[in-house]
Amino acid sequence: METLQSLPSVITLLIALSVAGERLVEIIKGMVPWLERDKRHPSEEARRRAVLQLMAVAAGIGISALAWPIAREILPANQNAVAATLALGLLSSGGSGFWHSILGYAVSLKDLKAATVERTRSEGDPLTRHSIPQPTEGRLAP
Amino acid sequence: MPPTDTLPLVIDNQQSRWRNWHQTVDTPVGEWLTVWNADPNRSSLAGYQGTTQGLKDLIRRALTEDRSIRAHGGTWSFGPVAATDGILLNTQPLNYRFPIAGGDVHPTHAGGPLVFVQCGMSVADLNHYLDAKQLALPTCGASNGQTIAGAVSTGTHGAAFKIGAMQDFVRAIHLVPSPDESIWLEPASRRATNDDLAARVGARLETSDDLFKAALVSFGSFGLIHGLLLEVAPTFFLQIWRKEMPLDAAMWSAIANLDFSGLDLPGADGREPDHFQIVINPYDEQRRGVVTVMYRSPTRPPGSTAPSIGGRWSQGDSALEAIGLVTDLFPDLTGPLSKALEKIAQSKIENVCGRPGQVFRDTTTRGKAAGAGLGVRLDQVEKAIGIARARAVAIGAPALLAIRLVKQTDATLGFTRFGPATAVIDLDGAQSNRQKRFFSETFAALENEGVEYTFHWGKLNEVSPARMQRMYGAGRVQAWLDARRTVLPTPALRRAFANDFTDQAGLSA
Repeated sequence: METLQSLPSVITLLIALSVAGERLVEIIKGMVPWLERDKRHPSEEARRRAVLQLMAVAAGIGISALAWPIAREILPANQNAVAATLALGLLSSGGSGFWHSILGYAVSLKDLKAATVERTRSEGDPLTRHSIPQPTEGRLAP
Repeated sequence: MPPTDTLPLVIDNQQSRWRNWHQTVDTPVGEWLTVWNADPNRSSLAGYQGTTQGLKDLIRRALTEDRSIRAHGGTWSFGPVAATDGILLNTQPLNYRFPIAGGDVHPTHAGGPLVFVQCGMSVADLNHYLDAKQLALPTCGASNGQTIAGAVSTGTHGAAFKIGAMQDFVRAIHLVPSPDESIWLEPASRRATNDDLAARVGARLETSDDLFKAALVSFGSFGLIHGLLLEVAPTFFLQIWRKEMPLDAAMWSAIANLDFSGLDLPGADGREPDHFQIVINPYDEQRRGVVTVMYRSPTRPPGSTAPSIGGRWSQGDSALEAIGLVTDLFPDLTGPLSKALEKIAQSKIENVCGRPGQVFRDTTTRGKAAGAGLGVRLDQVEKAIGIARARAVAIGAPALLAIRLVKQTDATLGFTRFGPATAVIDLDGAQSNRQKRFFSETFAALENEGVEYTFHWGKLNEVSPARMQRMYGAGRVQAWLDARRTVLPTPALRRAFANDFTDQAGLSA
C-alpha cells in the first residue's frame, strides 16, 4: 500500500533526474561534434551510441549524487546512499520519455486504488452527510 | 424495554480499515457499524429511547467479546482520538432534535433557549436547523463537518473570546456508559432541566459539577454520548473585516491584555470585536499577519454585504496536498508556496455580514491537510509564535500559523483552560514529512523555552502522561480520572471505552 502511494513520487524524481541527465548529455554533444552527428558506418554509429549511453549513465549517477538530499526524503527509509545513488543513476539513464510513460501507468493505478477506496468508503459509510435525512423536530414527551 | 420497532438499524460497513476525513489516520478496525434511528425522518421520544437501548446492546456485545467500543462523528479530527481496533460506531445518522421549553426547563435556568440534539447531528445541519428557528449557536468552529458530540468532546472552538469553545454552551449530557443504564448529567450548580425530563428520556439523573466538567471534553472515553442539551442564542449577525496588519508591539500587547482599543482594527468604529484571529505566514519577513475581526450585531448593519454563496475554499482544496508533495521534493519552494497557501485562504474582506450559519459554512477542505493546535497563555503568545515561526523556517515546513482567542473553559481537560482567554495557536498546512518534523520540534522547543501549552484534542499532537501532567497539572488529570471511574465503575467498562490514544495519554486507567 505504502509502495503504491509513493511510487508516483519516486517516478517523478526519476523523470526529473532523467531530464537533467539528458540536458547534460545534450550540452556535451553540442561541444563534441563526433558525438553530435549520426555515423554512416554501422560499427562507428554503434560506438557513438555506446559512448552516449555511458555518458547518460555517468550523468545520471552524478546528478543523483547531487540530488541525494532530496531523493532520500522520497525513497523508503534507511537506504544505502551509494547503492541508491548508483541505482537512481542507472534507472534515470533510461530516459525521461520512458519514465513519463511509466508514471502514466502508476498514476492510473493510484487513481484506480483511490477510486476503489472512495467507492468502498461511500458504500461502507453511506453518509456523505448530505444523504442523511433531516428529521422533523420532536418533543421529549410520550 | 422499548418496542422492537423503535430499535435502531445497525449496518455493518464491511470494512477492515477506517480512515478519517483528512486522511491523516488510516487504521485497522475490528467492526465498523453505522447506527440509524428506526425512523430517520421524524424525531420522537420513543425513537430516541429505542436508539439508547440499541447503544446499550452494542456495549453489552463489546463487553461480552472483550472488545473496545468507540463512536466517531464527522471523522474531522486529525488524530486517532476516535480510532479503535474493536467496534467503531458511525453515529452520523443520529440527528434527532428536540426544543426544550415550558415545564421541562428548570426554574433557575436564566440563560438562552435550550435545544436537545442527538449526538450525530452535524454542526452545519445544526446551524441550518437553528437558523430556521431564528436561533444560533453562540459559537462554532470555522468549518462545520464535525458532529456536535465530536466537536464538543474534542473542545472545538472558534475565535469568540467572549463566548468560549463549543463545550461551554452544553448544559446537559446524555451518556450511555454501560449495558444497564444511561445517565443524564447536569452540573448541580447550574441546573437547566427539571428532574422528570431525565426519567422520561429513560436516564438516571446525575447532578454533579465535577462529573459534568470532566465529561464535557472526554473524547469518547466516558461512554457513548447519545445526546446533548445546548443553550443557544437568538440569532445574530456577524460583521466581518479582514486585512493585513503589522505584528508589532502594539498587536502583541493588545493580545496579551485582551484590549484592542489601541489597534487600528478594520470596521471598529469604537466597537470591540467579538471574534479575533490572525493568520501568519512564517516566511513573511515583513512580520505582518492577516487579521480577521467580527463584530456581533442583533440586526444586519446597513451598507454591509451578504456572504457569497459557493466555495472559495473548494477551489484550493487540493492545494494543500500538492504543496506538501512539492515541498518535500523541492524544499526551496516552501516559502513561495506558503505565500500561495496564504493567498488561497486569506483574501481581503470588507464589511461582509451574515448570520452564523451563513458565515461558518459547511466547508469540505479535502486533501491531505495536517494541523496541530496549541492552547497558550495570552502573555506567551508572542514568544510561542516566535518559536513556531523559527522552527517552520528552519525546517522548511509548508505551514501557516494562526492565532485565535477563546474564552477560558470550565471543562476539566478543556485545552482552552487558560484565563481569562486562551490563545489557540494553529499550525496548519499540508501533510508532509517536514510538517511532521515541524510539529515535533515546535512542541519540544516550546517546552525547552518554558512556554506553557496544551494540545488541541482534535488535531495532531504528541500526548504522553508526562505532558498531560505538565499541561493540566496532576490535580486536574486525577480529577478527570476519578470522574471517569465514577461513570465507568468497573475495569471492563474502562477498558471498553479506552483506545491507543487514551493509553498514550495515560487516561485509560
